[in-house]
Amino acid sequence: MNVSQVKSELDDLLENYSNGLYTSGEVVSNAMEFLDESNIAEVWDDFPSWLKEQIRALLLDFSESDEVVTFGRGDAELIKKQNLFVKGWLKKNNLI
Amino acid sequence: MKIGMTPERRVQLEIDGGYDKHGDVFVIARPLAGSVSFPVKTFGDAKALEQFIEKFTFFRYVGQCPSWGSVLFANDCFSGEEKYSDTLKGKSYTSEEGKAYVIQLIASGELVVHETGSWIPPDDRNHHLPWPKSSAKEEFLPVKHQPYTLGPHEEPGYVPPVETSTVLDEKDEKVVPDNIRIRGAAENPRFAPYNLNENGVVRTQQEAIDLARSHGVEIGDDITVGFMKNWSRRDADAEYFTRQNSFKPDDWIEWDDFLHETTGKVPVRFNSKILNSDESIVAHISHEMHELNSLRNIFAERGAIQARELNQLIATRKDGGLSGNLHEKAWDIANQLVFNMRGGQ
Repeated sequence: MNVSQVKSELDDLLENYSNGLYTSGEVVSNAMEFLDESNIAEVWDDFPSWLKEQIRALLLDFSESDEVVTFGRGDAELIKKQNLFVKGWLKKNNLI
Repeated sequence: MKIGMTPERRVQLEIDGGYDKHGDVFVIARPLAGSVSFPVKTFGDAKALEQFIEKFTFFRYVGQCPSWGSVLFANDCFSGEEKYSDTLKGKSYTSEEGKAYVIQLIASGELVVHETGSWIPPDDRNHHLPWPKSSAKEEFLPVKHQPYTLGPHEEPGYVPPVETSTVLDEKDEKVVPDNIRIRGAAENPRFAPYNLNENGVVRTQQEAIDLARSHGVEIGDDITVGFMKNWSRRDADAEYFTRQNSFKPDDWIEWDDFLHETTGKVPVRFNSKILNSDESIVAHISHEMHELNSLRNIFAERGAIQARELNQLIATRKDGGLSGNLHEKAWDIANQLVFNMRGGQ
């Protein structure tokens, strides 16, 4: 997905959250999946502040030695890698 | 159908089993405590017994369970590759019209027929029972609303270690009491792909909800149902609690974690493409609601559970879910409803 597609999906996600179709915790999990090397700087800026805060809070307490429980919603190793990738980027940019 | 028990001597039982593809039921009963264990199916008369024997083949996994705890909660007893089948066809038994009978799987591995209330030799008790399967793999559906009453067979004078008159109370109209657990779970939807509606009819969201309710699906007031047009998942057409990166195994989860902060309801999302199939609508809504209704009760009782346990309850086996968990029972129920929608065929 290019950045505009990602932003469009983010908009949909946030609208669905406003309509009660996602919890904020679900928005956190889903929004973090939008982020990759090529788009993270631009897409992060588009996240509302409450979402940024919840992602920071989640990742602050997450490290290499942790496991994630996915409840069957994805590959645990890949999701862990994604958490570490986002945390690494936030650290590198002094955002966490 | 009764098995020669007075109410004060009834014991608390766990019931396993289900329907086969023909809609017949097979039941295994074992006490939650005590020393008598047996799989059993009762028949009101000899004709019913003979019909059952003609139709069924029993598949058995070879393996030993280290403890009753494993029998109840682990799948290692039943996951062995080796298995063999058996049938009662041609076996020696005498049936008389008007009498009730029981099929039992005894310690020696034989299938035998008893009259109800008959005495089971001590050697055939206290063993770990093989696991009967229907003639086709994964074709069990839950035992529900079947009029049976169960109790152990025993020699005269035997006193069960656990006694309760609350289980299987004769006055109780519910045929499967709440404190009897039902097993025999399917890992996957049995009838998918589902039949599309005639003439390409596509239901509205409200029609879909009403349809599910008309089939007995309980959708709580604390649930928000959404049919999503942009559905990206390929592994499922329904979801809730997509918190795949938020919890470590020992983290505690509460019911509140499922709720939307403003609405106070649990969002449950479905692929809007299923709206063109009544079968799919009923199957998916019933599946998600069974899991959530069960979880609501669990959280109400316990307050919180750890992420590891929640995963065991709702994930597939390949993702760490336990055999017979809420997810699999939810498929049992969905399968049964679609089976009914097809007129039991």
